[in-house]
Amino acid sequence: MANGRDQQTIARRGLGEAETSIEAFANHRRYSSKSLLGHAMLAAPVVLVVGLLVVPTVYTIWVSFYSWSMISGAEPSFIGLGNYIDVLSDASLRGSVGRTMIFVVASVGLQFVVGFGLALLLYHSFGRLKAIQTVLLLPMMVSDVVVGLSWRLILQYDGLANWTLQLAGIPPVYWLGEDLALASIILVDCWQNVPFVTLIIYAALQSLPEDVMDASRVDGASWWARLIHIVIPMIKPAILVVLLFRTVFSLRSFGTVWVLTQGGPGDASTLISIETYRQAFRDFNLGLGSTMSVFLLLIGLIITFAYMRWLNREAL
Amino acid sequence: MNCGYTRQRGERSRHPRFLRAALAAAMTATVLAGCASASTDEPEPGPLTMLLPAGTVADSMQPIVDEFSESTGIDVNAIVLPVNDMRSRQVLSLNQKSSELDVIMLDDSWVAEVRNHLLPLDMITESDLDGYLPSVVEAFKTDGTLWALPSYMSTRTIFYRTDILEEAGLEPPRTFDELRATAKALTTGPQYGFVFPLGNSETYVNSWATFAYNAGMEGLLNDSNTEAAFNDEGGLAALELLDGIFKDGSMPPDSIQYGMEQVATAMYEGQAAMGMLSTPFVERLSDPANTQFAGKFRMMPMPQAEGVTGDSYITAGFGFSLSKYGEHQDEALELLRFINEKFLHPGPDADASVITNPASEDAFASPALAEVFVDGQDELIEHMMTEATTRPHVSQWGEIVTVLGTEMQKVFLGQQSAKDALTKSEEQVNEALSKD
Repeated sequence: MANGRDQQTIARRGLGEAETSIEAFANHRRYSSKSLLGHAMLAAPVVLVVGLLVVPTVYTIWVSFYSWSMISGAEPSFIGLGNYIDVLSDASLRGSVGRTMIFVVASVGLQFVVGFGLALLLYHSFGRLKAIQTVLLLPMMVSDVVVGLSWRLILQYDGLANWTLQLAGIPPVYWLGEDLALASIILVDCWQNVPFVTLIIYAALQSLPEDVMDASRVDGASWWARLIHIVIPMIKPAILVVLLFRTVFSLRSFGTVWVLTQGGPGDASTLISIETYRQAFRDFNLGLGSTMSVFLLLIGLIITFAYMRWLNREAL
Repeated sequence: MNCGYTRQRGERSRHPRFLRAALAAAMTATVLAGCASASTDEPEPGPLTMLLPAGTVADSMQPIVDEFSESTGIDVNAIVLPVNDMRSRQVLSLNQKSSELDVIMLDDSWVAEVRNHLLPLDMITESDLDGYLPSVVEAFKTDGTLWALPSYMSTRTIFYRTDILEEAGLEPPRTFDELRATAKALTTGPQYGFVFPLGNSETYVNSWATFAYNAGMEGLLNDSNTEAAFNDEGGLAALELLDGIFKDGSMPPDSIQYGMEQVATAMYEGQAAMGMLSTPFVERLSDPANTQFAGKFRMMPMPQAEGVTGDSYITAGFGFSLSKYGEHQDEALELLRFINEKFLHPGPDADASVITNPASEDAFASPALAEVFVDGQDELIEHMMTEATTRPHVSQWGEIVTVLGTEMQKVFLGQQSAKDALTKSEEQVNEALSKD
């Protein structure tokens, strides 16, 4: 039989446990009320994401299994993978996929090289000159339509570019012709989006620890060695972000390309986005347009996962 | 004993729980309401709603609509959109069986696409249409059923600079060979002999088809609209002519991306001695505000291929119809009749856009017409509109235009021969037509 002292201990333990339980309950109540508020505040963006992203995506995938034209008079009919077979078997539609790949690889690659170089230049030489930073970032702030219209005026046969060439005695070039249309839109896309790359890389460079850089200099590492073995590995997360964003946005480029060439001449600059627009909004073929959109989504997902694996997921 | 309250005794929370929850709910409701509410610049809707294509059509229609509202007391909400957006919105609205639109303004080539959503105009009698050219009425009929009343109807032909041809001692060409030779002869330095809308679009197909008819093509499709009929000598001759002029260097290199507006601009700026345009451009080419060469442009009859007699044209344009789903069909019909009267019997104060789209006997007899189509061009335009044929009425017309435009552009780009382009187009068009 427990003595009084033991009873007090037991009582204290019981009380402590009770207190712990009550405290836990009180904490739970505090947590629940806080979490309720948090959930309530999250409700709006979740509803928006589901309503504006998830639902349309699922619906688009669903429509892609249907033959659905808004101007044929026929009711939508389920055809399974029929639209996908049409896309893969149609040379022009396949061509738009191929051209999009070329556009993305060339444009993103060029943007990264030039943007990285500009960021290094800003970091090492002109970082204090805010005016230069501002000027370099200007193209990113111009809308796609304005960029397209401006560059069309520059690149058209009797435009500013050829006028400049002719001043130098060089014959005019058909910049928006069949041979150079794709290259021209790559050039314009780079001009507009290099500042984004520059901005992100420059910010990452500024976060580099000075002591590490100083130590490497003291150890006699060359500029190139520092870049390859120290700078790039340390800013890998920023590089991943830049490549990811630019790839995704380049995949769905539309406004600038449409204003510049409308995918022409012929189909020389027709990308998936242009073809999707034509199918869905010019020909009102919702089934085929949705299928092209799904292709775009799949390509984007594949490239995203490839980036994750290639640049080390832990970097994020 | 602490009973779970985090506050110390006597401490009051500045933000009672219910206030925080209310704030969260209010924010959510505000965001959702903001998403739900439509933010448009459109005016408050009246009893009748219609869409108009931006540009000269909307500019000339607005006074007509205002006059209707004044005289009848029926408000009309005329929403102006670029023509492609207008088409998209109409197709979407009609497919949704929405009562949003009462009056539908449509191109004659769209009739087959949306006729299932339109009211047949059986209440319009022959006497209501008496005076119109037969072709402009036929443009809006399928299987004998009238779907829309014609309004802005036109055709297209070649405009030329009188001063340039006179200086070169040349006459307006009458044959395909003469056209090619004249274009080549007039290509000097920065000036090209001919400009044509080679861009991949309906404008190109309609323009090529006009040449094809003048080369003996019987029709774009057969009589029953079940098979392509353009892959014949006429279609081939027309395509080879245009390709020849382009390859001669007699057209601007970037004609390959030209639409009608770019052709007009080239003419305004004196970049071309001849160009193919639709007939209403006569007014803009006569306006000194548009071009320093105003007054020096004239239309010519379409040249023909060897062995073909008689010039041919295609008429196309807009008409007004009634949505099956509109809630004010009586008032909408009243508006239709009002608009119809303006085009059937244009008065002396009719807008230039109405005058330059003549489609009725009264329109051709109007003194205002002769003031715009000078030097005998009023007789020429009447001849062209009288001789004009219409485009086929099939729901696959958009697909047909895309196929023809795409395959023919490859000819101009040197990727295939004209014969191959027509053959491939014929296969694809027949496949599209077989799905009906």
